[in-house]
Amino acid sequence: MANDLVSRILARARITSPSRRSELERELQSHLDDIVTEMRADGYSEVELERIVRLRFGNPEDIGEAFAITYRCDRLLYWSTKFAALAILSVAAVTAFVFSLQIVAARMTGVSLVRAFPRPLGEIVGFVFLTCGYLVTRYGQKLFGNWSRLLAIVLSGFVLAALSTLLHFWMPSHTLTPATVFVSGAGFSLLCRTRLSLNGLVAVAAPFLIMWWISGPLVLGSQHIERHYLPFLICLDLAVSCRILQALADLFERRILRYELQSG
Amino acid sequence: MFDRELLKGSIALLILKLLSERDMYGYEIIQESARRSQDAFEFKEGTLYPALHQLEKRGYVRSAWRLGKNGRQRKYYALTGKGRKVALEGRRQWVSFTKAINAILSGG
Repeated sequence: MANDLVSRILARARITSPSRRSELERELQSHLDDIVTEMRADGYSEVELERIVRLRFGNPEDIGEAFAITYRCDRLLYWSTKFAALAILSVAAVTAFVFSLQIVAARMTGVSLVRAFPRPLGEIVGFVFLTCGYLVTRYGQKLFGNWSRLLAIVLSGFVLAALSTLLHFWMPSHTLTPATVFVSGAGFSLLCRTRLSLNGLVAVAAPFLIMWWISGPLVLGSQHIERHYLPFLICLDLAVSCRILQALADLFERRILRYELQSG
Repeated sequence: MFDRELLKGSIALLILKLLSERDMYGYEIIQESARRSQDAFEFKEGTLYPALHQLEKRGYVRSAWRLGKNGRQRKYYALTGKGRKVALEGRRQWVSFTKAINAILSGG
């Protein structure tokens, strides 16, 4: 009886610190022990005892919610830290993957590293945008219950606008490519749920190829690569990068995400 | 029993007042408030514990596990310096407030 009551309160409280959670469990358990001891001494039967305990405590979900409100800031900090770590790790993984490919390609074609990396900072900005596009859309869909896809798209739109504005002040002439790869990442998240599929490839490639066609080359390529192949190679590169992001987020959810994401 | 809405704003004040006299654990606070109000006022566990944790987060109380009278470990709450000031100020406001309400209710 007591365990059920306490575990229902704890489940709803969504306290992220294990020590605080176990301390609350211990505190409530100790309180229940006090009630039970006193009531048994007063001669109450087990059935009466259970009824009175439930009456005194009230609805465990309501109590848990009250704790959830108390520890809201801690929860926000906890998730912000975890998601920031995931985002940094994701950007690092994509950067490592793409840069490795570029180094291998440069070695194979005899191009110097300086020429193979004409704008490394700009590339990293692109990876940041790609990661943000993917992660914001993925967790936007988990965060919103109804109309999750639509609301995730709206949220992604706001984040893209904010990031593009910031980038516009920092690198005024380099906003278009990052914004395009953000859309590619978001599209992959929306259309590729389980593994790298044709849908995922199309989601990644479509924004990139459309922008390439409208505004000209979005990425400077090596002169040793046939011009027409370059956008397709980059799209393939982006799709594999998105698959890496997906694998990392899956791993994050399996290993680190212990409590369900809830809008509260 | 009193209207829940009426009690809402005074829960923190009551807890701080009780803790200003001595360190207490949750169950003791419930018993003590019931005893003093002659059972007219009784905290529900679901109200008391979130309120205690909220007060602790705000730095008005601090807690520590100690051995209770019957040899069991209990989490005792104690007032901090900040909590003592808040309790005094809360009490002052409460007295003025009830005085004003009484003046209206008594028609004088």
